[in-house]
Amino acid sequence: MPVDADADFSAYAAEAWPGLYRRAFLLCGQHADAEDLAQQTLIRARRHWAKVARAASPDAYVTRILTNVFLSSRQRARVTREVLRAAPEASTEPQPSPIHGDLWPYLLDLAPRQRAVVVLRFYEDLAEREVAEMLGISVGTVKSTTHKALAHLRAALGSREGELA
Amino acid sequence: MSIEELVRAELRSVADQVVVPSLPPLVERRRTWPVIVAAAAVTALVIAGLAWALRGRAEPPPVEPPKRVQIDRSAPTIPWLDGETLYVGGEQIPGRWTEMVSGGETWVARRHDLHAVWGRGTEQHDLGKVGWFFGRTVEPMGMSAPFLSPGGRYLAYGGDQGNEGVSRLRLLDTQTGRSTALPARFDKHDIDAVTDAGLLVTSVAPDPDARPEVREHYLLGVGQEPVRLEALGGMLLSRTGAPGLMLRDSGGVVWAVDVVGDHIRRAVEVGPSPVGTEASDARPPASLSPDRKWLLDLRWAGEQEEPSTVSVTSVDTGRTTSVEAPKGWAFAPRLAPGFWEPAGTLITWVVEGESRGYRLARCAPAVGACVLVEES
Repeated sequence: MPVDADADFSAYAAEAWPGLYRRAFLLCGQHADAEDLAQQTLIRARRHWAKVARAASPDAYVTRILTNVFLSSRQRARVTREVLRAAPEASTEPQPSPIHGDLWPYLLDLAPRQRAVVVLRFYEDLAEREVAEMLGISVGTVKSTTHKALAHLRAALGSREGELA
Repeated sequence: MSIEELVRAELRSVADQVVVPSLPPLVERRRTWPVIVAAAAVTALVIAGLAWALRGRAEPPPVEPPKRVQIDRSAPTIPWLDGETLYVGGEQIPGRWTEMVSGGETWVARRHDLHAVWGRGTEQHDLGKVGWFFGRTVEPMGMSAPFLSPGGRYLAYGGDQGNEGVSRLRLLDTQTGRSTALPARFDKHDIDAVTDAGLLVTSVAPDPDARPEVREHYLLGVGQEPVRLEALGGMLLSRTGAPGLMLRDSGGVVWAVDVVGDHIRRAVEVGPSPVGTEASDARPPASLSPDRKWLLDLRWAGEQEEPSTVSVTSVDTGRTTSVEAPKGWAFAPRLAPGFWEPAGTLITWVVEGESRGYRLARCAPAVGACVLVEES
């Protein structure tokens, strides 16, 4: 990468990192996974920096990378986690504060693709058409995925309120 | 609230709670699976043999843990106010105090009898009675509140009575103790800022009834001809306790401005303020960190009286990021503006939700987090 492009990318990465990390956390729900996801996203962005920098919205381009890395990593993780049964050793690192939120545990229950659609629709505030383009799926699939995800959340909230009542 | 709105609010809330670590090194993972598979058996044998041969002679390289910034929990050494007790350099200053601002070793505080007192270290100098410290409003005493330059070199204040019972603006050099009166025609001006070079920015509303309020700004210096700051175009000035100036224009957009000599070096838009366009309340001012990287305005916490997160804005990029109060605690922005430390951390008050107890917290905008400081 030319020196100027490298400097451009470094500046972009430093600026984009906090927002990227937050998006990654919303997708993964864990700090370690979020850090890995955001890091891998930037590595890919650097690899294709010329294309990213030319994009109408580099942020949108990088969000697309983030989402796709997340979805492909979930497919791999599903296989890997079947194999890793042994409990990990307790970490001596200070752990980040737990996240508080009524809906958050149920959002984490969503299937990866549902969670990705929900984050893109309601956190990124993207239109259904934009989500479809970003994920390479049809608008109809975005609609049905969103519908199923919201139905799951509505049901989860309803059952919780039933328990509390 | 619909489920869509609930989800949107929840995602935003979770994102705001996330403490973002520093950007790690971007190291490529080499995905040479075919080569690895082909060489796996040979490599394993070689490694096993080497490990056996070299055991005890070489330690494996340590695995570097992810970098996490630890925020110092020790009690602050900068001047700070604990309730009505004023501490300077760790020593208690006699008296009861209600407000305090500081720059470097210099501080100025309002004593319980409404007298403003300034000092360097533990020495004290009485300036007489003053009104509120924060904001443009100078009631009930009708005198302009004292204003300290970022590094504490100069103090601007409303001194003895001038025209029509309005206090005369004065500029005090805290190194020499010399106080100079400014021209009488600025008696009705408010002090908006003072720089460490001894320059004041003052403002006046030609038509006090106009809404939105339009103010004229002037740059004043001892022995210098006053300069009308035309470039500001009637922006409303919000006070800042740090280098540069914070300006809030009539559209509610906040600008960071450097004043060098008698001209504006640069103006950077740092974002909209959601609290409206008036700068005339008696709440703490916006401030820049000493390293000029962060703009903090606790009023930007929105309508919440005690928010668990506040936004800081990067002056370089204009982007905002969240700073989270310690778990179980919330910021108390109406209590005090917070006091910047030279390292770029902020000492501010937080309140516990259930006990309603107040503690000092140290916040690091760079990592978006705060910790409770040890009680002295």
